[in-house]
Amino acid sequence: MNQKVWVLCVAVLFTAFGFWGCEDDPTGSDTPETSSAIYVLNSAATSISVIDLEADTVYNNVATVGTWPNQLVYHDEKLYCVNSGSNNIMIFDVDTWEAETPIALGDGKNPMNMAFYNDRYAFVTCSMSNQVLKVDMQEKTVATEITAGTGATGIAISGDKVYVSNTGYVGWDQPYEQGTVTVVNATNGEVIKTIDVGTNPQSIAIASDGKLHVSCTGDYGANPGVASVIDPATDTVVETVEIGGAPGMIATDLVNELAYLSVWGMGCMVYSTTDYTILNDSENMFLGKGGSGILVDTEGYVWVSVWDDDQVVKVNSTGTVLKTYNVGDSPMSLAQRIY
Amino acid sequence: MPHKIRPLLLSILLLLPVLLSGNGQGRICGTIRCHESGAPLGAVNVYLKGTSLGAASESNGNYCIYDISPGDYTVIFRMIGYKTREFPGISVSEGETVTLDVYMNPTVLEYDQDITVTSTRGPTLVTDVPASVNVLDTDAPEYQNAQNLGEILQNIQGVFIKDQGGLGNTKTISLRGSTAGQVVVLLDGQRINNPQTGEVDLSTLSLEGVEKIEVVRGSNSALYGADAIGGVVNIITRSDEQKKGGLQGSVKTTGASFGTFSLESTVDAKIKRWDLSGSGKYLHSRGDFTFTDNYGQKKTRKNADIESTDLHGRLATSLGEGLFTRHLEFTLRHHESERGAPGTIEPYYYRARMWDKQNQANMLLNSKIFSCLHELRWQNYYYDSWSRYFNDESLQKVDSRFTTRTGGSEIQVRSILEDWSTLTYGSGIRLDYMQDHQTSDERLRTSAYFFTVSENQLPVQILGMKKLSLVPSLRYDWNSDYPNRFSPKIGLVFNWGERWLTSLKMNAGLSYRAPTFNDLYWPEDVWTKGNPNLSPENGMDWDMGIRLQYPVLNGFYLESTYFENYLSDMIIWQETDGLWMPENVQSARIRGIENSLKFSPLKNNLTFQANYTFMDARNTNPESPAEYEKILVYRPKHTVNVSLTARILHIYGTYSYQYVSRRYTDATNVWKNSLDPYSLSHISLGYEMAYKTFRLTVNTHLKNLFDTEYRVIKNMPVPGREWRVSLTVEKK
Repeated sequence: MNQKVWVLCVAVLFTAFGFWGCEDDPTGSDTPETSSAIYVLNSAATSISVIDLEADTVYNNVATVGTWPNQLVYHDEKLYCVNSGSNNIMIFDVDTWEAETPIALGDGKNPMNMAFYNDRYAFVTCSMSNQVLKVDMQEKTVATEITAGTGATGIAISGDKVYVSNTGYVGWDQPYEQGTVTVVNATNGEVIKTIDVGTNPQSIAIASDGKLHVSCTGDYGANPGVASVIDPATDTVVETVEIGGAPGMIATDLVNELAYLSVWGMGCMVYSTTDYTILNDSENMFLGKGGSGILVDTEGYVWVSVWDDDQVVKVNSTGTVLKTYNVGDSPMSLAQRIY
Repeated sequence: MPHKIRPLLLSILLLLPVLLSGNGQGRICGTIRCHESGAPLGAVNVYLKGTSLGAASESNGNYCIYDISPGDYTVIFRMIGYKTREFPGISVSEGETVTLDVYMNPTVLEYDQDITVTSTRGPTLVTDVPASVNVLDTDAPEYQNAQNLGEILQNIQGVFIKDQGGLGNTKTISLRGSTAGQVVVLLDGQRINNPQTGEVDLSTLSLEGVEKIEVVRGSNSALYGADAIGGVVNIITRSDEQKKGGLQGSVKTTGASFGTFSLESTVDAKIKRWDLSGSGKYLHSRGDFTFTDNYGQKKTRKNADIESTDLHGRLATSLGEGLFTRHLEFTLRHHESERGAPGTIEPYYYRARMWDKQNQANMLLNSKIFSCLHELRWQNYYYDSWSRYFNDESLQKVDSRFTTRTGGSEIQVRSILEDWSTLTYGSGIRLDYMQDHQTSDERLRTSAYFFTVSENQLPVQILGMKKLSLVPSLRYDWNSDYPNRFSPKIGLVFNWGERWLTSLKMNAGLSYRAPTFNDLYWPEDVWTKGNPNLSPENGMDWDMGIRLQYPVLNGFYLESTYFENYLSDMIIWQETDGLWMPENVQSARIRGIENSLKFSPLKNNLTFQANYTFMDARNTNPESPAEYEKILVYRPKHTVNVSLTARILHIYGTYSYQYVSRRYTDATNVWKNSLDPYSLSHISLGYEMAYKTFRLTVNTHLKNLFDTEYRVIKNMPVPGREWRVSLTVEKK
């Protein structure tokens, strides 16, 4: 071939490479249409997966969330995601998966968890600003900033009182401060009481008898994990369940009257919420894996996120695995759509 | 001592030089010039075939070989970039001086003759090396307004600069899909990768005193040891060959968008046998560009300022005369900066700051040893780095301060064994030290190594082939932190033709990345800890390509290379038993095609360059099903760079275009999290004028001409349209 023709051909071929850049979304745009679902927050993928309980199918990455997502909450046909890094709450319509304008909580807050007081107001814990925020969900504004304790993290609402767990974390090279739970009047935002609980309280769940169970992780050293039980009638600790290990989240089974405390990467510890008998401790873990997220559904089934395997496992109260679902990267918080 | 013996000894001493000079021996002297230009050629190796006698020509082209026993000889003249010439049957008689003046022809006439020193550890024509090499002249018009190394490297095929946006933010390099820690960055042959992180922040490397930059793509642990999985970047500062003598200097001032101002000056002087040069640069930028946040709101990038000072000094001299002249060089560099560290836009840090200080000292000795066939290079170096990061807005308050120090010595000998064979070999020792000022933790790593590379140009006449270059290399590393390593590599170049040069090249080698101090010794807290049992990451790569250099369009150059790299035991920080710690868990396969094209439709007036890289980098670890066979994060499949440089009399201009395809930001390739492709256009215009010994240059640069809003890294905004104007006054 004539050398100049060869040169020309190569140049044309080279130019054609430039048009290879067009790419389409290979995942398509399928969205689930279901009224019964478990929602999964995939923390590394910063996305949401939907386990459609009607079709028993998983839809992965149906929506993307913000930076350092921490919690999913389902409320009134909407799904709320608390983004710690983005300092906001994202809101999704669970039928269309359209995202509304997020609720900005302000820089330097590091929101962790939220709980709805009613259809208008929700409370959000902020671990960096040591606050609990009363957020007007209709106006999408912060109505009141309430000072809680150091490292405000877990939250539960009982009646007109908001319970906020304060980890007491002040730095990796410093000992934890006394773990506390701040009790706030939900209507006027005043702090009613501060209750001393175990070391490093993280998460709060309400049992069938109305008592609040606080999982306290401990300090990974001399002070192992406990569950502090608060009676909302007196706002005092009525029981300390010395379960050991390093529990993170807590979920209560209202059907079988059990409390499940997840231990990251290792499974769950279980005790009775009626007589506080320990059924599974750190030496005898329930499930034996997962624990980055936990939820007990309205039928008493336990759903556990398995971070390492990118799975969510459905288990019954005896520990039998009923089904394993492959979800997105690094699943964490779970929420149930109640029909 | 008896009186009679003392005068005798004195006489012997006085006569010794005469006796040793070989009284009665002959000599061959002459002048060497370039056939094309008639200019004298210095540093040409002249030697008598089959002997160890020889000389190197001086800068005026003169040479002299002394102490030649009477007889007939073949005289060989050899210099890189020129055809080797042989003169057989040169007869030398007792006491005779034979005059032999020689003209040498360049090996190629129609295109640039870039010389690389990085790919084989010795000066070699790019066309003779199997490796894929780019040689960038920092004086080229397109680089006139670059503020740091990252801005220069971003247009090379196979290179992706992970730019966190703005002048003050971190910029790291990815070569052929590697991580930043898998690329060795050298400053005059000395490694400057931070032993703490394994990476180099290109934004802290100004171009002060830099003459050229060489980028060798593909693994090179066989020559440079740990971390050369993706390749090697060698920043080469100005050498004394650049100067004509007397006093020279320049002052350059630049004003730019976002409150950016810089002032640079250089001074070069030649005082007797001493070459002195110094340069300095001051840069200040507010960096307050506007961007659109994730919810469509226009915002200003605050706390993105930078203030930096760079100093570079060099002292060089020649010791002795003639063949064994020793070239001694000392260089010092200092960098100091303070910058805002806003981090991502979610969360945004308004008060976080970073401080960096770096010092470098280098001593280099070059000399012939034994004969003109053996060249010694002895380098002693010291490099220290101090960094501080302060952030009181994060959940974990941070005020970290680290010091790293590196010192070492390396000896290298380059020997011409035959006309067609050169052997380079050497060894070195190196100490890396790190101190964490917060925890008072100190770490020391000791390493030693041996390396050898052989360059063989075989006159193979098969299938019309003219020449076969065979370049095997091998390195052995001993290290106090991880097991010893052998790193082999072999490269081949098949050459057809001379003026119409077609080359087929291939390489294959093993490489590795060493675990960093952070990987090994990160202090244990409740969430994380280092892993002192880590092994190095392993790489096995090969590539094959074609290179065309044709005497049409004023030098047509095309190169296309297919490459594959298999990585195993990659170090990933993951949760194990409740703690985040690094483990050798991941594996990956990276393959792609690099293409580059260059020609000049109008000689010296219009040059077109383009490159296109296709890359497919995937996770191949089946133990993480959600990530298996997914594309690695921040590895674009397609990258295109096009530039057109024009020059008319005193005016020159450059238009450049860059296209980067979609990048995934998470390991499972969530499309909605991926970053959109972007296309950028930049334009430069410059004007040069000369008056007596002064030269004035005005350069204007419009970066991101169409104000495209894009991100290279998720949640890290990049400035939109940006102008820069510089004025340079230079005294020649």
